[in-house]
Amino acid sequence: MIVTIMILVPLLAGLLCLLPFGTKGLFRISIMGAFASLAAAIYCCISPITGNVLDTSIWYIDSLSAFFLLITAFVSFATLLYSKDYLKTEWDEGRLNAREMRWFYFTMFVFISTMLITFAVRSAALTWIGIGSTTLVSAFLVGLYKDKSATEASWKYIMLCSVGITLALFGIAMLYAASSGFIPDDRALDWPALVANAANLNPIFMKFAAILFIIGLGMKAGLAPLHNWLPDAHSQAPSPVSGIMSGALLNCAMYGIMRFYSVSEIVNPDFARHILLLFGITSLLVAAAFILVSKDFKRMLAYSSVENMGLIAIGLGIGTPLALFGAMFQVMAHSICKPLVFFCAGNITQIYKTRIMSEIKGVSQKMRFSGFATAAGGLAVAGAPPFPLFIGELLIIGGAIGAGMYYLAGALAILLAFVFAGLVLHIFPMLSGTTDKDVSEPASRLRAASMVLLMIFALFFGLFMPEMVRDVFDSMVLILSGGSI
Amino acid sequence: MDQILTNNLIDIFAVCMLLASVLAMASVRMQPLIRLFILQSLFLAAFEFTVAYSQNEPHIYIMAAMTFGIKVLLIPRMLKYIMSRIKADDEMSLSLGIPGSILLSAALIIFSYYVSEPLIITLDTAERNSLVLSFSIMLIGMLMMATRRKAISEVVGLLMVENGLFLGAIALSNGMPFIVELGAFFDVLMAMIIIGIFAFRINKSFDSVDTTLLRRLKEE
Repeated sequence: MIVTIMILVPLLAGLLCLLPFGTKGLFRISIMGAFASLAAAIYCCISPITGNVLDTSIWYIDSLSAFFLLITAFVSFATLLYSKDYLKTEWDEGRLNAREMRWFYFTMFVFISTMLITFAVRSAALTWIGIGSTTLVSAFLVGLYKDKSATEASWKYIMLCSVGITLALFGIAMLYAASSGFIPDDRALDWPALVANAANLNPIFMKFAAILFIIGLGMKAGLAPLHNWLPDAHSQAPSPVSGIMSGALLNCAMYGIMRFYSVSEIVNPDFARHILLLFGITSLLVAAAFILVSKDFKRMLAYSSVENMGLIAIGLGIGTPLALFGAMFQVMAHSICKPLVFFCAGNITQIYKTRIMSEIKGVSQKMRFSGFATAAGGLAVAGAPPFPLFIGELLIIGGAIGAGMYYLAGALAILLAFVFAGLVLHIFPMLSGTTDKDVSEPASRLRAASMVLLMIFALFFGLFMPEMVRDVFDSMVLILSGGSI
Repeated sequence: MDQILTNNLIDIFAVCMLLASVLAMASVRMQPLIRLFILQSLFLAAFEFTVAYSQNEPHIYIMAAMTFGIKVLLIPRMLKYIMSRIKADDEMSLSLGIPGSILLSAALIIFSYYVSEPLIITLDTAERNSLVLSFSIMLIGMLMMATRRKAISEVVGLLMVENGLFLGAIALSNGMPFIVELGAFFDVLMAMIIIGIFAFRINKSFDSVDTTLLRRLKEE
């Protein structure tokens, strides 16, 4: 019941946004919707995250689901706060009309709702349906500006992700075939039932399922070499949308891979692990190369998302408890830091009216808050201490060393150094210097508030690891390694 | 009907689906391409109907009916409507010639026999040949998406990948749980509506649906 409410609250807010209230009313509904959705999600997850599994006929929330649900709700909340004045500026400058703003909020809320569904269901099939619908809904958010490049980006996005989704469905068919005979038909695709009966699953079917499922969802999670849609979609979407796509949407596909991984590793030890390692290393290589040569601010950040998804895949691929801990920590750190930099990029690109980094100068001088936030966010995504991505990277490298994969650890350290250098060398020149453009900080408390909120969370998790949070991560590691559901 | 006849029919329908895919790779015009897609979907519906009859599975009957309603009747109509509304000429532009396409398709078919070998020997159902064919159809569909440059032909490629998926799912274990199949059909339908909207947008902002024009976004 409370899960249903959690899903319905954003949906309801989305429908309210379609009513003709005028822009002021629209913004008010969006902010109230943001608070209500966050409250519902926290209320729903507070018990599951401490270990009391919420288990009904369709919903299943253990600490892994609750963790992803809370992250999604939090990122959505920050995005909705940030969107208000971002959209208002776009409206004042005539790039969006009232109808498009209404449509934006409607699709945004429906999008949030579909993401929550993905994490809360107990059946692999419903997870798949959730991931499929996130693509369809978010295509409209990518293509919000109806110009040539946005149309191109959303077309690529929807075509490539549709292929990925189809492959993943074939993977689910294989999973069903592997479980048929052992698990009663109506429970055959339930994640807990699959883990409990993993010893009986047909190993050959499971191998095919692993290949299809990881390739299919890897396409959606942006793992190289299947990442082609990602830089286009993230750079062409409005900045709040880029933030939520990086911070929450990529997690949906990663969550599917993780659930599958926990089953597959019991049936065929090391099989899914090796596929993920391969994808992870490729992603890191591609991302490091493209970050070094990038010219477009948001494209560079998009490649940084590819890098982070690759790191998470590597963490899963190493598979020791330490590396799994690191992978989960990386998920959280990425979801906090990436929206922050995308919001900074939103502030800067909206005021400077360009995304080309060489044309942006003197941000710190003219826009003091955005300059400060970009410096903090830039260091955070580059993986500098005291920000959490640094700890996640350290844990994953430590996991590689602990598992005896010294070459991997060395390669990771070198590639991450390249990524760090690329991001810092591209971001900091924009902050320094002077500009003769007439620019000033956007006067908006809400925009600043959403960014400060993200910065506080980033700092907190970078510096502290309370006992309670540690327990949550430990229980997730246990779930990922196939234990105790 | 006796068992041998239904088994033969199942094989024949699945092979005809693959044949439609290969012919689609050989067509240079849009109208025949859509007709081949209708034909393939029709064979899929017939395949599902035969399987449903021989296994006596009521939910596969429903699937056959849905395949017929959505993929044979509804989606081709939508595609034709989109084509009549946008300035699409009938000619397709290929980035790979016909002989090359056919040769590659043949290679993909051999490849799918090669990879599905370990899977086939564990199956003893009548539909096990269909599984190999479904791999081939999916791979050829992806080849079509990669080498045909019009928006509509990319869409037909995607739909053929989906036809292959349904063939494979039924060959594996008489389909999936009903909820998954419903979800899959819903997904196809929604995707088609949204793809249609974006096809109009491509046409409006580029004056054409040639997706080679969609090459602006990249690293310089």
